Amino acid sequence: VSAEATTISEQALADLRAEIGRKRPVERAWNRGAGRDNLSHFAEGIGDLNPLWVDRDHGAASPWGAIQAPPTFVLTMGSPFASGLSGAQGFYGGSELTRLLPIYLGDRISATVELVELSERESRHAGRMFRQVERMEFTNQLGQLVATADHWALRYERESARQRAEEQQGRYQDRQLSRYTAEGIKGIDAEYARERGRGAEPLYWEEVRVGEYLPQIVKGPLRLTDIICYMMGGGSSSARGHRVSWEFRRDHPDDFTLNPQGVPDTPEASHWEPWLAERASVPGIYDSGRERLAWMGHCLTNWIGDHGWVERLRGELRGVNLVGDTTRVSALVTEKRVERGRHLVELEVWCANQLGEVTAKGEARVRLPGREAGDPGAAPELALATRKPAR
Amino acid sequence: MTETSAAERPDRSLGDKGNRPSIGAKFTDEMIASMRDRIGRKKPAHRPWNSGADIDTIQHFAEGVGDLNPLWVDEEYAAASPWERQQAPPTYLYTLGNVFGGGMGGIHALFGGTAFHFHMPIYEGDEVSSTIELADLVEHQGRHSGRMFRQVERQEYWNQHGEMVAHAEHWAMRFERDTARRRADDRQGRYDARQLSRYSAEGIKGIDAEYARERRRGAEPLHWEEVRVGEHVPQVLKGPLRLTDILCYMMGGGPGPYARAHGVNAAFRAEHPRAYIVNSRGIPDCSEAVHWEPELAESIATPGVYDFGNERPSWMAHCLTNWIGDHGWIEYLRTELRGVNVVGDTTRVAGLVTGKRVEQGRHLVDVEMWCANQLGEVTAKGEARVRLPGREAGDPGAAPELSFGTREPA
Repeated sequence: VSAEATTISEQALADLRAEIGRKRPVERAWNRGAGRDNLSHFAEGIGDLNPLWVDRDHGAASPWGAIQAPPTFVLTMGSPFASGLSGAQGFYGGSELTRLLPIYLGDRISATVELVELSERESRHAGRMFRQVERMEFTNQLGQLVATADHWALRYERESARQRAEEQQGRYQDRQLSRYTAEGIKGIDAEYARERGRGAEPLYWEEVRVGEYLPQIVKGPLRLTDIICYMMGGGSSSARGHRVSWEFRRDHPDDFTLNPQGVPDTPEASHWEPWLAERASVPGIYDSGRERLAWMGHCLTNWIGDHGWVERLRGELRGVNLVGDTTRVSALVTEKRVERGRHLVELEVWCANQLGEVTAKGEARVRLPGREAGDPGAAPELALATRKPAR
Repeated sequence: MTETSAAERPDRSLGDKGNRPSIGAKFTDEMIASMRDRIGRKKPAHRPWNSGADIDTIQHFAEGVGDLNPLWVDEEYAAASPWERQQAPPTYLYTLGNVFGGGMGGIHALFGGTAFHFHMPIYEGDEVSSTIELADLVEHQGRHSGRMFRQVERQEYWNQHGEMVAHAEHWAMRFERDTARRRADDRQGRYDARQLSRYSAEGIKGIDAEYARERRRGAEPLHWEEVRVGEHVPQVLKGPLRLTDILCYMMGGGPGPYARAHGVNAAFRAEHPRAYIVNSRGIPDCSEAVHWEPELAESIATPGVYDFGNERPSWMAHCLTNWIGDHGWIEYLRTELRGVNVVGDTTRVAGLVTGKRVEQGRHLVDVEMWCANQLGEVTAKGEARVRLPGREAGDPGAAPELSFGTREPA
């Protein structure tokens, strides 16, 4: 979050605490609506060309009546950690999305953000550490709340951030960037070729059993090209070009660092500049982290098909995903229940890399059609056709 | 200079220049005949990044080229302007479909430039599609005695009302990969002495001061009578180029058809296996990655990653629209690329008024444009024609006839 860390003053804490519960509009959201181009840019960026997101004919014929944004599209609608805590470094930890309505093609969304929690955590390190939770709310042009998202980060004082970096160094010192043989690539290609989205055929709640594994999907081997593709769809909180970069730097002078050519660059460039990744004691550039939530969404929506609905998705990051890493996204059914007529399935979701390291863990709740009770699932009540005409 | 292979690049000549096997395809009579067959045949342009213009796609492009003119990005400001609605920057056209229509697979393509003819704005909410046709294919004899062709494509851009909003000619030189490799060797000589530029804190401060001085004319009209031949257009600065800036341009412009992720990438690679090169970690990557992977840039004898050449026309348009203000209109912009713009390069975009005339009541100004880097090298040259309001004749300029309000309801 901030490049220059010192210590966290009581005043800074008090100032930030005063923000708790104050909703403010999100500034400079990357996307403020769902047009067919930015939907497609995001879907391409995460590698999930589900026709429910990108094919207008398919969307119109689906139970929803139109194409809609993938579940994690709201991650492109503003950066949560705008509220400052000077003297602290921040590390994004994860997000929890609660989804009430689809974002349909043509919708415009306004987002708000508020600090909901700032709590001190016990730190292994010398300095203090806080957990900061920001809640975003996304409202469409009809005034309907479509989703909320809680995002959390850990904020460290400089000394503990330094110690954390040392730990990181210990953790990654023997880690080489992975290399692939032609055979290895062929095997991954075969996994891609096997990937299936369920599509129009409903998955009924009755067909699902607790303990069942969802079909895995593969992501990678990660290249800078993939990282860039995600940015092309998902945006960036601080990457700006030319004069816009100068304006941003003028307004946030502490959030820049000099590159080896002496040119100020954003710390976010650790996702594309190896010299910055090395400075963070990581052996190579790495993904944006949040994209892994989108991969979890991809795995889930492949499985539930067009009639299913992701109600909740929580993803917590556990490690970095480096260039050369290949991620498999998996999920396990942990529970089934019927709640007020809704046929629900609870899942555990995780991302693991080629070394077997879990790089993200999550939970999800999906709603499916129930065959026996004649529950058609979420689509009929949330379909485009149920909308009242705009005021 | 965007040196991206037209369809594929089968192997890399990393390092060793002795006794290299011949690479890529060779020109054949059949290939050239089938290419000539495309002349005059219109087809939809390949893989448009955008299919129209909305608040987000316009904003992303404007941010990417570093030109946050409120005429492009501020809904309310634009509504109060003579155009009555937010419009896309002129060179947004690049996002509406690939500038080359295919053909001569395996033969290298070196993008040379574009001439844009702008007929009307693309307004926020418009859907725009484009067609591409081969306009010309002319044989040239290169310095290296290799056979070369100059390929000219004509692209037309149509909005949802069936109006042609613009048309363009794009050109490229096509040569065999062996020729391309000789050119790279040649360039190696040229760039051997060239280091990536470094900046002192003072140097950055000076550049920041230039950014701070940049002015947009905005709402106050620039009248044709105020312009004099020989006058310089205020310079616009771009850079020092970082990979961050290159990515920002991609985030808005989505240039190039090959950068794709994960499963989308795997599917594309299965269809176009020769469009990929294997990187040093054994992972296939697209040839466009010369713009972001230093190892690839070095392999073609460039000292660092470099910009997408087709961003420079946007910088020229930025320079012009800053100067002409909200009442002016770019009718024509031609840009020819002359060299690469590598990370660390700082570009100044400049213009010089070369002519003034009144044509059928339109008050026109001709401008010579160029981009020059910190070494004084001209990396692009261009020409533009802008239309301004004429005070004496009471010509209000282009806006009243092209404004959003003049549109028939759909």
